[in-house]
Amino acid sequence: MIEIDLDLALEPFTLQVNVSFASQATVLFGPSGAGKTSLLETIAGLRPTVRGRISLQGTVLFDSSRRVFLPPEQRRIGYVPQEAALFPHLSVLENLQFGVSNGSSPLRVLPELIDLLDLGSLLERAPATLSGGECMRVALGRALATSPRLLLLDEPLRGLDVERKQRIVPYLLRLREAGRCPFLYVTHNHREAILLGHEVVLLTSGKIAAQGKPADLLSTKQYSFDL
Amino acid sequence: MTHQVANEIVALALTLRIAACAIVLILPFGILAAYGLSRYRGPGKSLIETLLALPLVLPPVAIGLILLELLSRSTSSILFTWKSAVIATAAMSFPLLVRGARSAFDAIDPRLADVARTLGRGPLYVFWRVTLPLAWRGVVGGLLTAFARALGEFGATIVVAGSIPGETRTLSLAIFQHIEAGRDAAAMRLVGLSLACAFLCLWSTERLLLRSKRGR
Amino acid sequence: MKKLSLTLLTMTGLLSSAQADLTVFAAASTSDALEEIARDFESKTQQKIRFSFAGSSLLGRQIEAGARVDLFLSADNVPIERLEKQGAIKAADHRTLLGNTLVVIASGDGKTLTSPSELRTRGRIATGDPETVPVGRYAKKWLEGEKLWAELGKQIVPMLDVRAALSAMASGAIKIGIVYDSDARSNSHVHVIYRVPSEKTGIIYPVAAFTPAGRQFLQFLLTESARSTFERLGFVVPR
Repeated sequence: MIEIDLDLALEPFTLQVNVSFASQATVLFGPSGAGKTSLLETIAGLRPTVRGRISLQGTVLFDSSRRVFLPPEQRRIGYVPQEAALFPHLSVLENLQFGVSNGSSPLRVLPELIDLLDLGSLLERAPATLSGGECMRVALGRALATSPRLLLLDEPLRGLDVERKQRIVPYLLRLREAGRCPFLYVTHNHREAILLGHEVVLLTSGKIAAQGKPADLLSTKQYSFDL
Repeated sequence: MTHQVANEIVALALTLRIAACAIVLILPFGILAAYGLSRYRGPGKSLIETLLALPLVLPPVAIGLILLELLSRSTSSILFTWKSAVIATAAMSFPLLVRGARSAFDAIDPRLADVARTLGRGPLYVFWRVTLPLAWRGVVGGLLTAFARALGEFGATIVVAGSIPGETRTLSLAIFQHIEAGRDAAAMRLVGLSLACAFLCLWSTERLLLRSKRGR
Repeated sequence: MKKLSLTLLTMTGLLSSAQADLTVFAAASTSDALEEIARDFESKTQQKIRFSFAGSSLLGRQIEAGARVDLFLSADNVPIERLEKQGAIKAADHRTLLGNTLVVIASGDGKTLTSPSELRTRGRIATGDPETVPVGRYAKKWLEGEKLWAELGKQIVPMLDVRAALSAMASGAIKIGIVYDSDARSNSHVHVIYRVPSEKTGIIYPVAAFTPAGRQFLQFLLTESARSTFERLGFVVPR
């Protein structure tokens, strides 16, 4: 369960968000420039904002009225930005281990993740030698290795060709069914939203326009942005 | 002749020592300033950048005079010792280090540090393990350029440190003294030495930056 | 190789001599006196003088390298002898204009020296570079005569010229200096703590004129009013 109530100053408008969602897979759906990425960054604690409150599973991450601001490293929120943003100077294995320290996160989750995401053959490779789809799988693994309470995915399929998309989607579905951790998935692609979301939050022109089941919400032509 | 060669070795060793001390002195501040400038987005940014770049364009003797004023107010006497030569040299090379390191920090995708934070790592850890390793070529490049500048420092040094043989008479000061005394051949030998040192520094910088452009 | 460095040296001289009727190169120690005399000369003759004050060796080298100059007032004979050897001037063109006294000065409350050997305990000494700057050469000659150079040489902080030695003292970093009497008088931050007897140094300022305009200014330097200015500012004028 995540509850968000924010005023987010963006150029050229202020994004007002008041929403809560509890499903395993929530899709944040909206056109480019609606402020989706900024919202993810704010949830992760990477973007300061003046007014608002965010709580995750009962933990307050940010509350402007009580001057609470948990830094990103204490939020336990995994973040997979667009184009994966792997650490270019580290190998795949080192990327996966980056957030895993002996104390906080059990080392045994790593073999499971390597298995789940089919990363076994990539471990020694450098990120520069990976394909876009492989990068995305590593980025997923890197975020999940820290056992986050919420995973933020920013258009993970963007820029991939149809074939690569089709090879990634099963992993995302596997992730969803494994129930490992709930995710918030940003996209402006209609089909992805229907395919992956249990629940859709619709973001247009600076506010939440609607929230509901993907089939109900996205059947109307009105909200097709990927044409 | 051997006496002269010995003098030249003394001047070279002294120059290298003063330049190295200056670089060590400015390295932490330079990296910090470069990183800060690269990330800072608030008011007064261009003012700070202008101030930091001033020593690049001000006459070195003007910097020397400012330092002379500042240092003459401190109680312990470091003026006209090798320490003051280090300070003058440091002031003159600082902007070059900052410039080099800063463009390296600018070139890093800021999302990498962001992601690293969400992976549970604090800012210091992220700086050491992500930002600095990705910027190191640029930092070392800036460092070498600053070092090359330090080797040639003249104007600020002569004002605050004089030209004391074996203590503050670096290569460039020794060259000037040789010219004044009419020993052109000796001056030219030192010019050759300076040229070799400066060439080595700048050439390694170019090689380093070229390699980083080809991809990490 | 030699040509190149000399050419570079000349640039400063050439640049400073543009747009003037008369170019005078003079030892840094004479700047106050010459500027005062020049004001008088300029108002009487309507000729404009451009000065370049620096260490005499550097000026000598600039002239060697071809700097256009009408008159050169050096603080010792070495640059003049070099120029004569090079054929740039003839013996008839130069003469002794002034003498000076070497003094030991102190900043702050430095006490009078009863003997030069007391310098051993007074810390570092600012003066001209003994290798190239006349005041440093005279200081070395004097201290060698006193059998003190072997010890005191290490305390010497060699400066570019006599004025630089004075500014080093003004910063407070160096408390003792060896300069000319004339310079000590021009500076209110320092006071004389020892006068070196003139027979131990034999300081002379030779002057060489290169052109008719230079000879005209030289004649002016020998007039009674110029001589009294020199004397007032601490120089010794041979009568």
